[in-house]
Amino acid sequence: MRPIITCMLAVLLTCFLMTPVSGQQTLTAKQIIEKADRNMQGESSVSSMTMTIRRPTWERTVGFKNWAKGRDLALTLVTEPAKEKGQTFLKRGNDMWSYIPPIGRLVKLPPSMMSQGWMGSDYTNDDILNESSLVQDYTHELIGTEDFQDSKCFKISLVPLEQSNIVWGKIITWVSTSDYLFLKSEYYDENQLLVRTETAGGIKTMDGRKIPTRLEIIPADEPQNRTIVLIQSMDFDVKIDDGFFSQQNMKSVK
Amino acid sequence: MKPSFFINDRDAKRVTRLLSLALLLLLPHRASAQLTASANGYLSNMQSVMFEKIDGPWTIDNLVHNRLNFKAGCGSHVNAAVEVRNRFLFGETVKYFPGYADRIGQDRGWADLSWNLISDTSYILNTTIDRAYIDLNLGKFQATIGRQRINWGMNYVWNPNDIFNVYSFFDFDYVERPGSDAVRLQYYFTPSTHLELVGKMNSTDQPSYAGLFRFSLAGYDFQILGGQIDKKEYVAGGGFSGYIGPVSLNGEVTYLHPRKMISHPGPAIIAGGGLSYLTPFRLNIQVEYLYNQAAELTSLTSFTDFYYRNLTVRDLSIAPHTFFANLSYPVTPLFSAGLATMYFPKLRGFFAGPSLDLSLRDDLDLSFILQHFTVELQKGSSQRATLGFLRVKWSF
Repeated sequence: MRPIITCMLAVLLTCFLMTPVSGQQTLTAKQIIEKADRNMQGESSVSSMTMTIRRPTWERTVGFKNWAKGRDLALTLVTEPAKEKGQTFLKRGNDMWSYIPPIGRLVKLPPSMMSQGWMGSDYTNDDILNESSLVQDYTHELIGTEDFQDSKCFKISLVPLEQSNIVWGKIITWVSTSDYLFLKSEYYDENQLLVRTETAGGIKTMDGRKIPTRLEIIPADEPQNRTIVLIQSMDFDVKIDDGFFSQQNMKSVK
Repeated sequence: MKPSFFINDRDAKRVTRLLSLALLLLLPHRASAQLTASANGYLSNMQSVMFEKIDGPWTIDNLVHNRLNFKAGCGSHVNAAVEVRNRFLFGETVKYFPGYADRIGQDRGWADLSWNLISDTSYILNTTIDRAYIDLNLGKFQATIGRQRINWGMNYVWNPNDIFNVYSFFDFDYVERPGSDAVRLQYYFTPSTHLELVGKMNSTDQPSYAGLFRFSLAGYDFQILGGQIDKKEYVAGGGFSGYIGPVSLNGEVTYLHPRKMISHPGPAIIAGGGLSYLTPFRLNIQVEYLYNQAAELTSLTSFTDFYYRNLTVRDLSIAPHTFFANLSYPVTPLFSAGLATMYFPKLRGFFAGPSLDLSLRDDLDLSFILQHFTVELQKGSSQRATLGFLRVKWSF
């Protein structure tokens, strides 16, 4: 069941990457985030990626292919490691299933399964299950502009609203002024201590869009650890019929 | 030493018939579509020991186990698979267990696709084809013809609904299980609702027929099934799977009714269910219970009967009530530990199975598994057995 996180992760990344590319205007902090967030529920995508958990003495990699449509439909095929290759995950709204080819079995998954990170990935349950909105559930403040990896960025502070159910005390995010890409985000706990840093790099044009193809998470308390996501291919707004996201297709998708 | 690699006439005819049927269905899809092929599998070496008392004699065995899965596809509509299991066994069980080679070479399917290529005093080399099917995917309709796994189970340990490939929890080294020689037709009404019709033949030409309807409702999966097993008895059952909050729930019930009351033990209800809960600190807790009315009549004389018995739904358990509990915990991301236990009140006995799994590389795993049984198969005489396994497995 380990790669379950990858299914949700893929959905998350798909959303994360669907940041719009548009012209420069004078935008408020909220508008900048909103601009990014508006497309987070992009129409659909097909992508291939790997996630590597890197520790000082070992590393493990899982690869997967993902089809996603909106926030409710996703199908994930594990492509590596060999042991888990061919396993699929289907998400339809709140329902999730996994199919295990060697035993020919379809398993209904409870949402709590999603908290079972893969090989101690630095992604947490909150990344996956957090259905909060970066626009609605935070107050936003533009705290300046700053260069990150030679790109000029808006530096924005996001503080969760009191009534929201968000675990973070604060997020500081760097959004490139040219392409509106999240290039860096720092997550702080309620005591304003840094918990982890996410960075995005390897910006490439895929399917006509500029996107970061390398995402890295560094936990603050174990800075030698890394979770690295590499995107091999990504196609946007691919026409996928809702019926594609079916139990039948879990057994035959390639 | 008795090589028996050649398919006999009966099997040759059967295989030819099956392939002809498959090819006939394939004809309309010839050429044009893109061809794909893939292969994967694993190679493992497992050392095992078995003893009653640790200071008594040990029975020592070794199994080199290789699995090769071949798949080919023609477009998205036609797929074929052949999966082969090769085993090289040597050790004291081969040497001293009467009829062991026959047991290894036995194929309970319609076609005999298991061959002891070499069977000598101390070792056996066996190859078995446990999957060989063609799958046709025509929109919402799907037909799978040939040797395949038909898994209707929803529970974790005991699956009364899994009438075609009953699974033994103890046989951890062969989760794939033998396939069923069957024709399986599936129709998907919605992305999560489908109907299956299966016709299967066994080695004595007794047919089984069954249908299953599976659907999702209010966050739960449900299934109902009915049919006839091995021309001997009628079967009806149902199952569900879902969750309440963070706790997964599942259950299955199967009712068996012999066609002729004289030729068989009476009707039986076999029902079980379980809960599973993953705690926030990653300890996974599972419990399951099985009621097996058919086990009221079971009488076993030896531990080997108990451990090695061929499984049908009726002998899912050896006691009317069986309880199971399992704890598993990832000590580190690469190292996990588990403890499975069973309690058999009628046999005044239990099973305890601790296990340790270590990931050595992306493709290499090391497992250490213990299985201890204390059961009173005959009143007043308690029997003990402990099996230990050390397995290294390379997946490719």
